[in-house]
Amino acid sequence: MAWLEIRNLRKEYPLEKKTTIALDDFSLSVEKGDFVGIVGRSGSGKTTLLRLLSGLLKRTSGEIVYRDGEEAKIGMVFQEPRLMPWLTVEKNILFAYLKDKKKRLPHKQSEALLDLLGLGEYKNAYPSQLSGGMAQRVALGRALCYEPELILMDEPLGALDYFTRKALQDEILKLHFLQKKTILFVTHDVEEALTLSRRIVVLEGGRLIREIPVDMPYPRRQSDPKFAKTLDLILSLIVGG
Amino acid sequence: MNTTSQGGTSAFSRFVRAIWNSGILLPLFVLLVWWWGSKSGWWSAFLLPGPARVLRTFSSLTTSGELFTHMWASLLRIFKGFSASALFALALAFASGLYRPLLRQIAPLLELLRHIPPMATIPMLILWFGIGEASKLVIIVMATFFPIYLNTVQGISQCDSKLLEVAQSFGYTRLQTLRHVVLPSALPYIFTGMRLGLGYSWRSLIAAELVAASSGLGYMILDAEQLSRPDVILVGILVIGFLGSTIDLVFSAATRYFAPYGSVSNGVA
Ligand SMILES: Nc1ncnc2c1ncn2[C@@H]1O[C@H](COP(=O)(O)OP(=O)(O)OP(=O)(O)O)[C@@H](O)[C@H]1O
Ligand SMILES: [Mg+2]
Repeated sequence: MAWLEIRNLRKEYPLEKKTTIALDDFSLSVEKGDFVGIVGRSGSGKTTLLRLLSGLLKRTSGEIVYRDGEEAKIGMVFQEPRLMPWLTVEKNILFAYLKDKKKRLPHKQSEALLDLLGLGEYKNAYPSQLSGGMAQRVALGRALCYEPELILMDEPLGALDYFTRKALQDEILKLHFLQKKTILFVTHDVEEALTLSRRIVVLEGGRLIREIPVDMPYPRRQSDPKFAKTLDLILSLIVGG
Repeated sequence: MNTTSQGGTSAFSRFVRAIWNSGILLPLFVLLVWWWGSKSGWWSAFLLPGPARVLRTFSSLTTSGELFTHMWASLLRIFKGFSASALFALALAFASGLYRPLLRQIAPLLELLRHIPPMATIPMLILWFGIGEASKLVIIVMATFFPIYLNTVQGISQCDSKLLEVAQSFGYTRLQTLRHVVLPSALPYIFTGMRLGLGYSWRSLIAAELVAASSGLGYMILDAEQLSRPDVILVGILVIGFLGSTIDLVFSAATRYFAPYGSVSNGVA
C-alpha cells in the first residue's frame, strides 16, 4: 500500500434542484517525496480534491487512507496568500504555532525559512507592505513552517506575473528537494505542471482521465523534445475531451 | 530644473504654510472676535462674558478645587458606566456574533431600544433611582451600549471566511480561531465602537447631570445658571469640550497602537 491512498473519492454539492458532482470515483496513490501535478480545465474539480484532502470539506463517499494509520499533517497553500493583515511577516510564517500559548515558537525555523525565501529584510513588515509575489512567498513559508508531511497547493502562482512565477517555481523545487516534501500541486498552467511534477494527473468533469509520468531530469527544459510531446498529449486530452 | 516654482521655500513662507495647515487660524480668529467684542461692548457682559473674565473664573475654580471635584465626578461616572457597558456589549456581541439564533432573538428588541435617546428615559430613571449615581450610570450604559455592540457584531461578521479557513487548515479549534483570527480582525471595529460610545456617553452624561445630579460638570453648569454666573457656565462648557476631545484623542492613539492594520472610519451607531 502506498503512503497515501485515495480511493473512489466522490463529492456532491447539493444545489437547488440538481446536485453537482464535483469529484467522481477519484483514486490515486501517492508515495512520500512525490510531486504530483494536477491539471484540468476550470470546474474540473481540482480545488474540491485539495479541500477534501485537507479536511476543509467533507467527502460524500470514498476513502482517504494513510499507510501509517494516522492522518498526515497537511500544509495548505491557497491561490491567494491569505495572510493575517494584523501579523508581521514573521508572525504570519509562525501562524501555525500561535494557537498554542504554551509552546515556544520555533524562531530558528522561521529565520531559516525567511532566508530561504529571501524575505529576511521583510521580517517585521506587514502584509499590506508586500508585493503579490512576496506575500505568496510568505504563504509558502507559513505552510512549510508547520512542517507538514504533505503540502497541498491550489494554483499558488496563478495570480503572479511571468517572472515572479518562474522564480517561485524554482523556489518550490528547491523546497521539494531540500526538505523532501510531498507535494500535490494544482495548476491551470500545463507547462508549469511539466516544469515541476514527477507525474501529472489530468482531471476532467470530476474524473481522473489520465495519469502521466514525467520522466525528465530536473531542471526541466522546454526545449526538451519530451517536454513538447507530453505537453501536446495533455493538451489534446483536455481540449479534445 | 525649476525647484522654486512650487512657491517660496524660505523659512518665512514655510512658517506661514505651517500655520495655515495647522488649522489654528479660525480658533484664533474666534477668540479675537470674542475678546474684541467684549472689550468694545458689542454685547452685554452678562450674556457673554469676555475671555479674560472666563479665564479668571477658570483659575479661581481651579484653585478652589471646585472644578476638579465636578470633573472628577463626571469622569468617574463615565469610567464606571463605560467599563460596565463595554463589557456587557462585547460579551453580548460575541455571543450573538458566534451564535446566530441568539442574534435573531435579541435583534428586534435592540432595534427598538436603539432609537430611544437616553435622555428620554430620565423621568423614568428619576422615578426609579432618584437623582443618585444609578440613574447616571444607566444613561451612560444606554449611550455606550449600541455603538459598541453594533460595531463589534459587524466586526465579527466581516471577518474574512478565507482567513477562517486558513486557521482551520492549521488545526485551530473554534476557540483558538476566535482568539487569533476573529478577535484581531474585529478589533478595529471594536475600537471604533468604543470611541463612538465614549463620545455619546460623555454628551448624555452631561445632559443627565443637568437634570438629575448633585455633582458633575453638568450640575456645575446648572448651579451656575441659578446663581446667574454665565462665566462659570462658559468654563463648564469649554471644559466639557476639551475633556471630550482629549478622551477621543487618547482613544484614537490607542486604536492606532493596538490595531494599526485596520481602519474603520465611520462605524455603525
Ligand atoms: N461550494 C460549492 N457549491 C456548489 N458547487 C460547487 C462549490 N464549489 C465548487 N462547486 C462546483 O464543483 C465543480 C468543481 O469545482 P472546483 O472548484 O473544484 O473546480 P476547479 O477545478 O478548482 O476550477 P478552477 O480551475 O476554476 O479553480 C464546479 O462545477 C463548481 O461549480
Ligand atoms: Mg480551483
